[in-house]
Amino acid sequence: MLKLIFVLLGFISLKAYAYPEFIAYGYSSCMTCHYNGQGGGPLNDYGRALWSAEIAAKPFYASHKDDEALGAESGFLGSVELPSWLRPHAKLRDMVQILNPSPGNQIYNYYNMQAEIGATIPIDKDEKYLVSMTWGYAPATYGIAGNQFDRWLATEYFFRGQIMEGLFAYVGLIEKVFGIRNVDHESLQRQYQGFQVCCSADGSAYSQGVVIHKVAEKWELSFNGFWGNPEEDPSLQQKGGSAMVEFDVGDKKRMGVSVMHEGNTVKAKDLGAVHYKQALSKGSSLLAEYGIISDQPLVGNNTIGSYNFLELMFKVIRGYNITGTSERYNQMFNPNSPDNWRYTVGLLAFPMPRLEFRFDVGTQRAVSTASAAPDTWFVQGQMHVSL
Amino acid sequence: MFRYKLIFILLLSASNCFAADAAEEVGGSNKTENVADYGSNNQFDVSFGIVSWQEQLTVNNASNSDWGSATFTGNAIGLQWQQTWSDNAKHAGLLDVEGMAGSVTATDGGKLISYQNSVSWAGAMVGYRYMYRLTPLVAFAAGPVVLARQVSYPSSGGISATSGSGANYGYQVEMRAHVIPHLMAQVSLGNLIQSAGPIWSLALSYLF
Repeated sequence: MLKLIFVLLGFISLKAYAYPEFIAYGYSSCMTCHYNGQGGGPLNDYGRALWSAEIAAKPFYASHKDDEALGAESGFLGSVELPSWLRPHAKLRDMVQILNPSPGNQIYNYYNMQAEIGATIPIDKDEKYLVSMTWGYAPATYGIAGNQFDRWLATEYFFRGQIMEGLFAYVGLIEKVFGIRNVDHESLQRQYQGFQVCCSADGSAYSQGVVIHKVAEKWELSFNGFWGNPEEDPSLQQKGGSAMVEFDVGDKKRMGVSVMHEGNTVKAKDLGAVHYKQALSKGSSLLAEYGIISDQPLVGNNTIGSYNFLELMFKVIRGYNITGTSERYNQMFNPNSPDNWRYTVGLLAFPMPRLEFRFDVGTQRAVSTASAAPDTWFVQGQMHVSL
Repeated sequence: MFRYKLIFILLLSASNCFAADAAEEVGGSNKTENVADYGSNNQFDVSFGIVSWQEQLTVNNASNSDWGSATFTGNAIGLQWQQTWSDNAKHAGLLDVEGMAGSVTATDGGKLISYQNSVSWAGAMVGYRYMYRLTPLVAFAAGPVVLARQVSYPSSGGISATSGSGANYGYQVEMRAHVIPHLMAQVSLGNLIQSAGPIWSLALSYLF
């Protein structure tokens, strides 16, 4: 089990920091807050203001200010207004993790998950056309042999054009479109979908490609064609396509269906998933996803399995949320194939604008009729600074 | 496997049945400040879900002892009674009685004795939790649990096995959310104390 966790942590996703949980605030589309309408990546002006004025707690140094004033100070340089053609961003995210926190067995890990700078350049005032670029530091551990990275590289870049009302096209190095962009970077859901940061036969979350995104009031439809991440070895670059549709099934309740096919010279994958997002009350949400994953390696047997993902997030007070997740993944539809379960309880806190803390306690268990291994407990904390 | 999918599919299929209550609260209405909107302040619910925990396995033969793990998994049917402690029903006590049955897989983790078996078990769990409702739709609960289970590991080749304790105790923390009125999702995580480990459950419950 420990080996499994180490392998998984070796491919911690650098990015994918959208918050689908914010359907709890009435935002069922990521387009509202992100330049990438599928979520993740830099926030637009509205997203920045929303974070400051509604999501994050009022900062101790500005408790007398109203939300409108906080929103007005949410720019890259605070209240200093930058020209409309320049929207810089910078992010730092670090994680400390303790595996098996009981005395005597602890394993401490530290990960620099995200260190990046970039800018979005709206070409016109209505932001119908824009270019977004992000450079990030990739630690050496992300390389195949441990030496490929340890350097800064372009982690995301895309051109966005609005073709007509509600219809957008993206071209560049961009996150693949599929399912819920769960904020937990180590969730079984994201791990086994194959959306790793780099250099896995299962594929990377980010790939050069084209996305066509139609946004309507009660539904969204996306098509994504991709041909690989140029930072990867060509043999690992997954080529393929995906599609996702989301539609409202009630007020602040949204359902979605995703499909994907991708392949490289080592492995092909087919994925299908149905997901659901619901606002429980203001600030509290439920996310759920059920998916099927078919792995077709060039060497070895094909497998087809499934996963469940369920997350509850409850807002306690403004800026402070409790999360609970239950996940399951099984590589095969076979009674003898182990179910891998992962349970977490955590705190997701935005104590002030631009700052996020996460603290999670969890356990991971393999359930099968063939063997029983001791659970792995873990405790982890994250700090995220976003300018 | 089927039961896991069933619970998930039930959650998804519930999506078309939402009443306006949750939406109104998202919109900022004060209407839902009192849980009485969802029934009486002292209410019953029936739950159905899955439960799993681990116990330490001990295996013996004529000359050696060895250790391993036993992973219990099964279904749980429960009856829960909520008794509110305050006028606005934010604070409540929750008595939970569950009947459980399933299978346990036991494997020795050492090198002295080789043992592996998968057998059935049955048991019951009683818990009493303090529950705090953030809103009428979502609540936290935490408290002690007492668990009793019956399992018999077959002996073979002079090797006998036992795990944990027939009666155990521990604690659970739980998140409860109304997916639709009268239907609630529950996710809980805890720990059993006596030669055992984490216990978790995932359930849907119907409130009368």
